[in-house]
Amino acid sequence: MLITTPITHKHEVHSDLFILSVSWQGELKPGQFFMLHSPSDSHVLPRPISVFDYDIPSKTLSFLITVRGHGTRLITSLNEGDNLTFFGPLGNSFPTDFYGKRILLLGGMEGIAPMLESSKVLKYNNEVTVCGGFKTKSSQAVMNYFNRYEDEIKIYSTIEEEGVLITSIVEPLPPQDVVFICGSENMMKACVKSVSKWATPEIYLSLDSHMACGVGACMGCTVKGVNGVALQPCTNGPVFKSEEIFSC
Amino acid sequence: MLKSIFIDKSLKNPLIAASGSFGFGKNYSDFFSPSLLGGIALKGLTLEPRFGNEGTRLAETPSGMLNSIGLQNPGLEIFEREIQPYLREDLGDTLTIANINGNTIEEYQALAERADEWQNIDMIELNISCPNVKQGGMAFGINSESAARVVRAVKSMIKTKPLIVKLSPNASDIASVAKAVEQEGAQAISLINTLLGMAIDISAKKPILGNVFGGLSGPAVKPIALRMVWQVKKSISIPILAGGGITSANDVIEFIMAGANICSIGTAFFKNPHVIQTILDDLEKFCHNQKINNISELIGVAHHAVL
Repeated sequence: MLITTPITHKHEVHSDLFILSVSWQGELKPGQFFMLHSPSDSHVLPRPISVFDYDIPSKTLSFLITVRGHGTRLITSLNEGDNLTFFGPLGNSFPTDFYGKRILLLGGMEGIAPMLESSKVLKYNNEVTVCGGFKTKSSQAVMNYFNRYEDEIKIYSTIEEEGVLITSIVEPLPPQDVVFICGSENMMKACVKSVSKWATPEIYLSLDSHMACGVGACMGCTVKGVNGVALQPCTNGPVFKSEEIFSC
Repeated sequence: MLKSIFIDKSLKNPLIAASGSFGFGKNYSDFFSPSLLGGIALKGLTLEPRFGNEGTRLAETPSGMLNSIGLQNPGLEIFEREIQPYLREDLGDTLTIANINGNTIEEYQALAERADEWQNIDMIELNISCPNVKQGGMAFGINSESAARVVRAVKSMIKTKPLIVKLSPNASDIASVAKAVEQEGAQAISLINTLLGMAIDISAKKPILGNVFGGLSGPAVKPIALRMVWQVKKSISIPILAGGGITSANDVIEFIMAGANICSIGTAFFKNPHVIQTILDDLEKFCHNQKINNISELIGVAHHAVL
C-alpha cells in the first residue's frame, strides 16, 4: 500500500544527513526498510531507506537519510508539513531471539540506522554494545538518538577524519556472541575480519543496494553471495548471515 | 470499453506488464491483483540460469532510469518445474507472454520449441533487443537481415502459439526491421526495448553501472518510442504491442493513436505500484467523455490527420 502523509519532523544533522519523521501505524522489525518516493514526477526511482526509529507510543516512524544522489536530495529537500510518499516495511530483519548474549552492533555512516531499533529490542535480555563509525565529526550527532538508552546499552562512536576507524572499537571489547554490521562493503569486510578474532560470533550483515521495485520483480539490487548465488537484498535480505556474503 | 484484441486473443484491457518489470507476476500482489492487467510479459528467460551483470545495475536519470540487469533468470528447467505450472494461480484470464532470449539462434530455437508447449503461456515474445547481454540479444535486432534470420529459425520451431518480436530502438532503421520480421511470419511486433545509455559517478570518476552501459527507460524515452511506433505502424500491418515511458492514460492513448493495439507498462510500476488501476480508471473516463464505445476505435487515428 502506497502511503502519503505529511512529514511531522525534520532534523538536519548536517547538510547531507537528515532525519525525516512521519506518523505511521504498523508492525515492523529491526532491519526492515521502506521505499521512499521522491516528490518529483520527473524522478522515477523510489529509494530504499532503513527504519531508523519507530516510537510506538507516538506512532512516529523516522528515517535517517544520507544524500547519495538525486532521489535522496529531492526527498531530503522536503520540509515539515510536506507530504512524503512511501511503502513498506519490506525485507527480512535482524534476528532478535537472543538471551544473555553479548551483542555488538556496528553501523558505518547511515548504516547506523537499523541499529537503533535493534538496540531497543535486544537490550532487555542481552548485553548490547553499539558503535557508529562516521567520516566526519558533524554526522556523529546521530548517536545522540541512542543516548536515551545509555543506562542500558554501551554507546561508542568513531570518526574517520580524526584517524579512528570503527574496527578500533573491537580491540578492547570482551568477546561478543553476536555481531550486526551495516555499512559500505569495505567497512563490512573490515569489521567481519576484526570480529572474527573472537571464537565464532554469529555475524549478520545488512546490505545496501541500488533498488528499483523493492519487491523482488526487477532484479536490480542483486548481489553475489558465496558460490556465485544471486541474492536479492529487497526480498531475500537486506539482512544476511556473513557467511552467505563473504567467504572469509 | 477497454476490451482489446491482440492477434487471436481477447483481452479485458490493453495494458500489459512489460517484461523485466513484473517478474513472473507475483511480486506486486500486495498492491493489486495481477488479474487486473490485460496481460503480462514475463521476465526474460534463457536456457541456462543466468546471474546477470556484476556490480551496480541501476542508475537514476532525469525522468528515467538505466538498468543493466543482464537477464538474470532461473533458466528453463526451474521455470518449467517451479514457475510455469503455477502461473495461472492469480491471473484469471490475463494474457501470459513468455519472453525468450538466447546467445545463439540455436538457443532461441530450443527455448521457442519448449515455450510452444507451455500450457499456461498464451504467446511467445522473441527478445532480440536486450541491450545488456554480451552475445545475442540486441545484436540480432539491430538490422533487418539478422532479425529476419532469427525470426525465420524460431518460427520453424513453433506450431501453435503466436510469435511477437520485440524490437530494439537501437536499430538503425526500426521500421525496416519490423517489415523484415513481419515477412518472416511474426504475428505481432513489440517495441520499444530500452535505449542504450550510461551515467558516470563524478566523485568516484567511474561509470555508475558495473556493465558501463545500460538500457534507458521511463518518461524520458516516451517521445522516441512514440515516434518509432508511428514509423513501424506505417510499414507493417500486424498488431503492435507498444510502450516506452508510459505513466498515464494520456500516454496510453497517444501510443494507441500512433498505431499501438495494446500497450506495455514497465518503469511506471516503480514510481507508482498502483499505476494500473489509475490508468484503467482514467482510460474509462476518457472513453466515456469522448463517447468512444471501444478504445480500439482509436488505433492509428492520428495517422489520418497527417497525409
